[in-house]
Amino acid sequence: MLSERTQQNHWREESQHEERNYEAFSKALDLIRSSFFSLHMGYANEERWRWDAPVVNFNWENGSDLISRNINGFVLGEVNPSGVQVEANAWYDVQEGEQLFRYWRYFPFGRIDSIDPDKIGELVTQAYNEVSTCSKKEIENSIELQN
Amino acid sequence: MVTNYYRYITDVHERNQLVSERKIHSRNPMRGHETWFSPTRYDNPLQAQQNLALPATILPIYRLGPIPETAIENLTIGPRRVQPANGHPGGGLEIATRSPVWLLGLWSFGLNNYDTAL
Repeated sequence: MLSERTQQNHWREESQHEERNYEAFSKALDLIRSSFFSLHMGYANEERWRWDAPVVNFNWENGSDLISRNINGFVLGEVNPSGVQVEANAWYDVQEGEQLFRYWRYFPFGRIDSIDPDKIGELVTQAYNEVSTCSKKEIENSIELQN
Repeated sequence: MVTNYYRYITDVHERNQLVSERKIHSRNPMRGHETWFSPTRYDNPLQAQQNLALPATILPIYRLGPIPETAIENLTIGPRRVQPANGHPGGGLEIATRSPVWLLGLWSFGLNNYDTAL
């Protein structure tokens, strides 16, 4: 544990660090967005910067299997963007008596250490193809959620 | 019954803004300073990271709250359940607002400013 004085000095030093270049990160998020919408023809909800993280999220349901799906593109880097990580999830929530359970599958699709539109496109395509075809049988993890 | 909310922060610039301006507001201008809260009080930052499905780089350093719901205006999101993300199942609850939340301060008549000295 840091002492109080050490912690204060830590914050002073940290505060001299440059603030994140939000605009540059947003441009990288735009590249992930372009890749996603070149593949997905239906409706998808889009969200960015959840909890201040440089991430763009697309989520959708296809209506027939009641599975929710998302793709998350996360831009790496401290002050300026340096890479991209893409992942996807498929899940559904079930109320069982008084308990709520989430059945969930995680698809980690890896990362690239550059902001290369072609490589971003490859990652997004791989993630989209896998998560789009995921069936309920392939969703194996479950956790209990707080009501 | 009033619901209380908590903000979990990692950004030193936001922490300093909070101390100097007594304002809870994201530093991010790209989403109109949209600021996220959870009604759940997590005592363990790893549990907060898991339930709020935060990236590995966003492990909360501070928890701020309780903040009564009446102090949080103009919700843009929620309350809603968190989606899976970043290798976490999510399942926590969250809201967001673009309006700042103002904290109580110790106003010094002598300084004609808030007294933040220890």
